[in-house]
Amino acid sequence: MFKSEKLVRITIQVPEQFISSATGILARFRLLHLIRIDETHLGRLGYVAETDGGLFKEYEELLNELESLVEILGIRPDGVRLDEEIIPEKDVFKIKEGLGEIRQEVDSALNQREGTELALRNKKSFLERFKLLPDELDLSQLRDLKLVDRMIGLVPAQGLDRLEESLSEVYHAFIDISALQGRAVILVFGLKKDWPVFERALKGALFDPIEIPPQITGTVAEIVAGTQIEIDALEKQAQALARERERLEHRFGRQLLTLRERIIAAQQILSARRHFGKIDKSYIISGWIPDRLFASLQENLLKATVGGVVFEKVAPEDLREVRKGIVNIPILFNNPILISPFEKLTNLYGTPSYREIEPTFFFALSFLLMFGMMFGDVGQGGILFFLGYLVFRRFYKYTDYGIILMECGLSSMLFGFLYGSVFGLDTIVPALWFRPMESIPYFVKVTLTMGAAMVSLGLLLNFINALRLGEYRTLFGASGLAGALIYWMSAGLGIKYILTGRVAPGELSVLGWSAAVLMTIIVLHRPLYRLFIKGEQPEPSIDKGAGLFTELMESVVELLDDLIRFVANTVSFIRLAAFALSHAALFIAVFSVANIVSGEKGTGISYWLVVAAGNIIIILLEGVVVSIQTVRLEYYEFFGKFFRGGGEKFKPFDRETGAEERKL
Amino acid sequence: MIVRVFRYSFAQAKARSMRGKLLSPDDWHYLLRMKGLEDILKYLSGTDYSLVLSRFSGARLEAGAISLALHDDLFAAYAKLLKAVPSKSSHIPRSFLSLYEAENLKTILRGLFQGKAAAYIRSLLYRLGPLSLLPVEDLLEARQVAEAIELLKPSPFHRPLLHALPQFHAQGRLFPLERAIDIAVMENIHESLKFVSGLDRKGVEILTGEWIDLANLSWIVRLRRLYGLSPEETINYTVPGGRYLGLRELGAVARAPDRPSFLSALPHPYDEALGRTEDWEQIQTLLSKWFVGELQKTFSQDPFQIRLALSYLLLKELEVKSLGSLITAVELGEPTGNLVDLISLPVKGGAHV
Repeated sequence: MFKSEKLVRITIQVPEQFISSATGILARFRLLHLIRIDETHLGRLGYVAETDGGLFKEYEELLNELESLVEILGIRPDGVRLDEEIIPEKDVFKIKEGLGEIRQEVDSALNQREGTELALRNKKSFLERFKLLPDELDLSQLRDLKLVDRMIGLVPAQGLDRLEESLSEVYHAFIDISALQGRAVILVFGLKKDWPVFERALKGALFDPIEIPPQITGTVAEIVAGTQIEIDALEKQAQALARERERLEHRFGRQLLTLRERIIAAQQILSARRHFGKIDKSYIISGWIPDRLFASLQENLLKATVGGVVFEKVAPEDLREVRKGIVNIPILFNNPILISPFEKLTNLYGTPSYREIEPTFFFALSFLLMFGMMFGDVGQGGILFFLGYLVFRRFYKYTDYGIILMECGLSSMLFGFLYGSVFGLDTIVPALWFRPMESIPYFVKVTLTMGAAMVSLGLLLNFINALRLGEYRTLFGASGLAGALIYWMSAGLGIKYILTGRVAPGELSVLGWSAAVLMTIIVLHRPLYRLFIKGEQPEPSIDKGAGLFTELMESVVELLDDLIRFVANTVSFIRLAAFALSHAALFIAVFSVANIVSGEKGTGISYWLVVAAGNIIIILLEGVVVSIQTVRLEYYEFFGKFFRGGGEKFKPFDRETGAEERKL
Repeated sequence: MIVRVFRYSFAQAKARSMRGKLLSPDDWHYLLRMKGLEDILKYLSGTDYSLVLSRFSGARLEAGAISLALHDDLFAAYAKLLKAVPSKSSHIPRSFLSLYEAENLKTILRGLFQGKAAAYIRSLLYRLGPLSLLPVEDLLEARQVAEAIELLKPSPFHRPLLHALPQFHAQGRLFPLERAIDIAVMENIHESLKFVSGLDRKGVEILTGEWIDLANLSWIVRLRRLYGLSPEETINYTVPGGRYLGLRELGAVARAPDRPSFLSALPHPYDEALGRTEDWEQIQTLLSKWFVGELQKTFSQDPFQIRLALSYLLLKELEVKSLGSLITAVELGEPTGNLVDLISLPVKGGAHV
C-alpha cells in the first residue's frame, strides 16, 4: 500500500509461428508495460518487427463494415468481455464469415426498408405540394390544351410583380392559387409559340414546378385521396420493416459487438508488434510486469507455445540503466479499492518515482479527514453519499469519482455527528465533540495541531524517501532531518503552550541552543560536504563553480526560507476552521432568510423551501470550495514536503494501448 | 428635431471626423501615378490604411489579399459607427454590411460546390469578425450546398436559398442561389427602412432608393451584356425599392436592345449622369461618380439623421472598392492612363494623369 507494485523486467523470445498466440496472451493478461524496442539498443540496431500492413487494412475494412451495420441496426454500445485468445492471422477468416452471414440477412431487409422509405418520402412530398391545388381542378382537361401551354408551380411571393412585368410583352394568364411558406402557387397559361419566353421568365423567377406525372388523371381531390391510401399502405410496410430491424438488432446485437471487440483486439495485437524486436525468425518482447504474475504468465506462454518461448527475468536493482537513472521503472499503484480512486488525484500532482513512498494512502485519509472537518453535516453528507452512489451505479466511466464522493459523504456525516449538525439544524442530534460556531478558539487550536501533524508526516515521509533514494546529504539540510528536528521541537513547545498556557524558561533555552546547533549544521553541511567528501556531486541547482561564500549564503537563504515555510504551512491549516465556520455561517444566513420569508414564524412551506434551496446552494458552493481547499492543502502543504515525482505511469498492454496504436 | 439632435449628435460628429480621414483628390492624383503595388502600399502607409496594411511589410504582395485587408478598414469603420448610431437606426447600416455577409456566403457556396478545401475558402472571405452573424465555421464543414443552406436557418438567407434550390438542381449551377442571396440582401436593405420614421426615414429612403437604382442598373448591364441573359429573366433578378426606377422602367431598360435605347430608356437624373457614353464598361463608374456627388451633398444638409453616417460608410466603401480596382489594375499591368476610369471618387486635376 505504501509502495507501488514490485515489478520485474522480462524479455521474451518467441518463435515467429507463435507470435499471434503469445501476443494474445499478453494482451489478455493486461499487466505488461511494454518497452518499445525501437527505443532500446536492439531497436537502434534495426531489429524491429513490422506490422502486417495488408492484414491490418483488412481488419480496418471489416471494422468499417461492422460499424455501418451497428449503426444501421441501432445497436447500443455495451461492454463485451473477450476471454478467448485472438490470433489475427486466423481470426480474420472467422470474422469475415460471421460478418458476411449477418450482412446477407440484414441487407435484404435493409434494401426493402430503404426502398419503402424513399417511396414514402416521395409520395408525401408529392402530396404536400399537390394539396395546394384546388380540389376541383381536373388535370385531364389541362392536358388536352391545343394552342395554349400551362405550368403549375411555386414562385417566391415577392417576385410575382416582377414575373408579371417580365411577361408583359406576351399574352399570358396568371392564376394565383394558394401560398406555401412565402411562396405563391401559380398556374400560368400562355401561347405555345411564346412558350420559350415563359420558360426564361419562370427560370428567373426561381420557379419550382409541381410535376404532374403523365399517368395521373382525374381531379386533384381524387388524386389526393388515392395518394393518401398509398401513403397509409407504405407506412404500414415501414412499421413492419422497423419491427424487423428490431428483431435483427436483438438477434445480432451481441454477436456484432463481440465481433467488433475481436477486430479491435486483433488490430491492437498487430500494431503492438511494431514495438517488438525481431531477429531472424524470433520476436523479442520486452516489458515490465508485476513480479507476482511472472510465474503465471510463464506457464501460460509455455503451454501455448509448447515450450517454444525463452524467458529472461531481471529485477530492477540488477539493471545498470536503472541504477544510473537512464531507464525509469513504471509505477503500478497497489491500493485497496476504497483508496485507489485517489490515485487519480495523486497523479494530477505528479507520478511518484518507483523507489519513493507511494503517498495515495496518506492523501486519501487526510483528504477525507479535512473534507469532513470543513463540510461536517449529517444531512448534507448523506446527500453527497447518495449522489456518489448514483454516479457509482449509473456512470460506468466515473466510478472512481462516485467512490470518492461516497467517502466524502461518509466523512461529512461523521463530522456532522461530531458537530451535531443535520442540514444546519443543531437541535436534532447532540454534538459529540463541539459546535464550531461556539468554540472558535478551540477549533483553531485543533486545526493548528492538525497542521503540525500533517507537516510532520510530510517531513517524516521526506526522511524515508531520502533514505530510500540514497540522498543522505539532504538529511542535514533545512528540509531534511535537521530542519525537521527544529520544527518538531518548536511545534512541541507550541502545542504545550496551547494546551497548558505556559512554557518553562529551561525548555526555551534548550530549544534555542538545539536550534543554534542544528542551524549551524544546516548552513555548513553543503560546503563541508564539498570539502571533505570527495566525488560527491553537488546538487544540480548549485553552480559547480560557485565559491564557498556563495554556498554559505545560499544555505542561509535556504534555511530562512524553509523555516518560514514550516510556519506558513502549519498556519495554513487554520483554513480548515475558517471554511468549517463559513459552512456554519452560511447555514445561519439560510435560516435568517427563511425566517424573513416566512414572516419570522419559522414555519410554513416558504420557510422549508428556502431551507431546502439554501442547502442545495451550500452543497454546490461549499462542496466545490472545500474540495479545492482540501486539494490545495494536500498539494502545497503536504506533498510539497516530500514528493519527488518524475515517475512513469504503468501503461498496461491492453485495449487502451491498442486504441492509441490505431491512432498512430 | 430636438430628439433627433440628441440621438444623432455623437454619430454625426463621429461620421464627419471619419470623413475627414478619407483619401483626398490629391491622394488619388498621386495614387493614379503609381507604377507598382509597392509604391501604392508605401503611399497608403502614410494614410489611415497604415494599420491594416502593416501586415504586408516584407510579405509577397498580391492584389486579392491587399483588397481584403483594405476592407478590414471598412469593417472597422462600420463597427465604430454601429456603436455610435441609435440602436433602431443601426439596422440600416447593418443591412448594408450584410452585403459582405452575402459575398462571404456566395464564396463559401462556390467553394463547396467546387469541392475546395475549407482553409482555402476561409482565406477568400471578408474578415467581418464579430460583425458577422453567419455560422462560417459550420458552413465550411458542410459537405454539400444543400447541407450548408440548412445551417442558415436563423438567417435571412435561408428561405430565399431554399426557394432557389429547385432551380439550382435543375440548372446544375450556383447562379440561381447567388441571385437569391443578392435579392435577399437587397430586400433586407429595403426592409430595414421600417426601423426609422419621419424625416429620418425620408432622408435615408432617398439614399437607399438611389443605391438600389444603381445596383439594379449595374445588374441589368452585367446580366444582359456579360452573361447574355434574356430581358425576361433579367427583370426577375431586379429588386424593388428604387427611387427613380420602378418595375416598368426596369422592364424597359432590361428590354433595350442596344446602348442608345438603353440610355434613352433611363429616367432623369440617370440619363444626365451617363450622358452619351459610348462604352458599356463606363456605365458603372459614371453612375458611381454621380452617386458620390449625391453622398457628398448629404454633408451639407440636416446632419441629425442616419443618412449622414450611412453616406460616410458608402463613401468609404466606394473608396475601398476604387482602391481595390486600382491595385488589381496595377497588378495586371494596365496602362496608367486608363486607371482614372476605375475611380469613382474625385481626383485632383480631373481625368488628366
